[in-house]
Amino acid sequence: MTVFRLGGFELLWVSLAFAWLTYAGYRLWTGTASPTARFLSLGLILLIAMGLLQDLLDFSRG
Amino acid sequence: MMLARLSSVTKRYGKAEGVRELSLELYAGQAVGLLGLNGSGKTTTLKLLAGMLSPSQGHVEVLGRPPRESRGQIAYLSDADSLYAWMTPADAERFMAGLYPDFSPSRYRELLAFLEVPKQGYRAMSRGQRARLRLAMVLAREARLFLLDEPLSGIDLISRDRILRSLVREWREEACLVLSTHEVGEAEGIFERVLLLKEGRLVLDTKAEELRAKGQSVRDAFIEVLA
Amino acid sequence: MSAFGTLLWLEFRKQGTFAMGMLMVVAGWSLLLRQFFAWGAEPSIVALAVVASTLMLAGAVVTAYLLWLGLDFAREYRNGRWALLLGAPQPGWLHLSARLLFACGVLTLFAAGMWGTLAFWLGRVGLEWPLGLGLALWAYGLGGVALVVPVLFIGLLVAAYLPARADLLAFLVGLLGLGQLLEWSLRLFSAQFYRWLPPWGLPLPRLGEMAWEGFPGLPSEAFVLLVLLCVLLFSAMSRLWQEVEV
Repeated sequence: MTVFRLGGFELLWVSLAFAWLTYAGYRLWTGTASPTARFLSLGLILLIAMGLLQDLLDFSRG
Repeated sequence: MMLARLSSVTKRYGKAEGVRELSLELYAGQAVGLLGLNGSGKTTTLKLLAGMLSPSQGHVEVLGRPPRESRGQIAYLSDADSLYAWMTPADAERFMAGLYPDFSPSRYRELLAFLEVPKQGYRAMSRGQRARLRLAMVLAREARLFLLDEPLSGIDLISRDRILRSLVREWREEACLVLSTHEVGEAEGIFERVLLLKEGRLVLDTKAEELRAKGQSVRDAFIEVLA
Repeated sequence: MSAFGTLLWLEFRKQGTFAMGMLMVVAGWSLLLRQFFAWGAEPSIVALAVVASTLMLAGAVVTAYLLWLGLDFAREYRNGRWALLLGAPQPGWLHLSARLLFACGVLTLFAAGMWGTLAFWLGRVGLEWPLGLGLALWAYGLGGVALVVPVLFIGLLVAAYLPARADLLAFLVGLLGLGQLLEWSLRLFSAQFYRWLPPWGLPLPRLGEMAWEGFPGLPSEAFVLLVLLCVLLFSAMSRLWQEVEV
């Protein structure tokens, strides 16, 4: 079975995705005075990041 | 009796500041004119008092609690053209009576008659008629703090003066009225206290009688401060 | 009239036209399905065409309704009506319950209408639709809650970020995040399905000659999980309602 490898192209996409998540986290944390909205959006962003990491792990295990 | 207090309140929208280091106390029985040019922070101040905005710094309290917890005591009229297009005055009565426990239907009907609001739907009303209906909805409440943001815009000059004079003359002892306007002349001889905002700061907080004692009109004070 | 009754009335007046449109779709579709039979093909092919096109139409209409519902918070904000709603001394959960109840009612009525159409026309070619009406209503009702709660959640989250003009960002994060929440919940709980609670016994479904004899029922754990997620999202929304800026 072929094993997924992190090449330059994949690394670029993954970095872009994490950079976007960081930007979204900053905008959504600073964009409201509501503590609930802040923590909800932060929680959702963490979930997305965890999902992305999990997918990377699953792929690299083949 | 003090009804509301802003203590060193700053409200930022991103990098811009709506109001800066604003401190203010409002008392029962007062009719207060909140004046300022466009963008001076009048709407932000009223929204902070109504709990529609949270301060970036400082504290706001109404009847000793955060405004959102005192919503039952605050009657706020926004400057937006904010009613459902299908609503008739009768629908508006049903809406208000269901959602606001302090709404008085009999007072509402009196106000509709006094303000000459037609019975048709909101969509079919002129700008002035819409403003009158929204004003009646808010004034029919038995709240303690009335925050009216440019409530008379769109209403003809003669009616504006009549409405404003009657409103202030019959003002209730237990409640406070804060009415914002950019028409300085409107405040002349009507409000007992005048607040003037400039670039988000409170630059004048005076009683009308103090101005009169100095031989100044509200317009004079306004121009002096802005200059 | 009570506050909840007023809020339901408000939803009825706001959504009345859209909801009536959905019921008209059911009536129109029922008449259109006659054409499938005029086609004169094999009954099994007609049945397949009837089921596929009905499901597609129902999916499209439900999606349109959910989009309308999700965008309603932003519409209220843009039209300056938030102040009227937030100014009322009613708790957030009451406003949201009225929206939820009304939307689930509309979806269930629509689904039941489509079910009736499908069952009637399949009956014409001697086939029986495998889900009974009672079960269908129950499943559609729960499915409705599971669809409406996340839609309201994302709609309110987006509205909370309208003043900062980060609404598109909030929408993407809400959508991806909720998808991820569902995926993680399934990952964590899928091992437990059929383990703790008994499966929900369904009346044995039949499709023509086929009988699903070995079908144990639906996993109760999945429904419990669904309900838990909905309660969680609903309480988060109720808090958010109290803090939204206008």
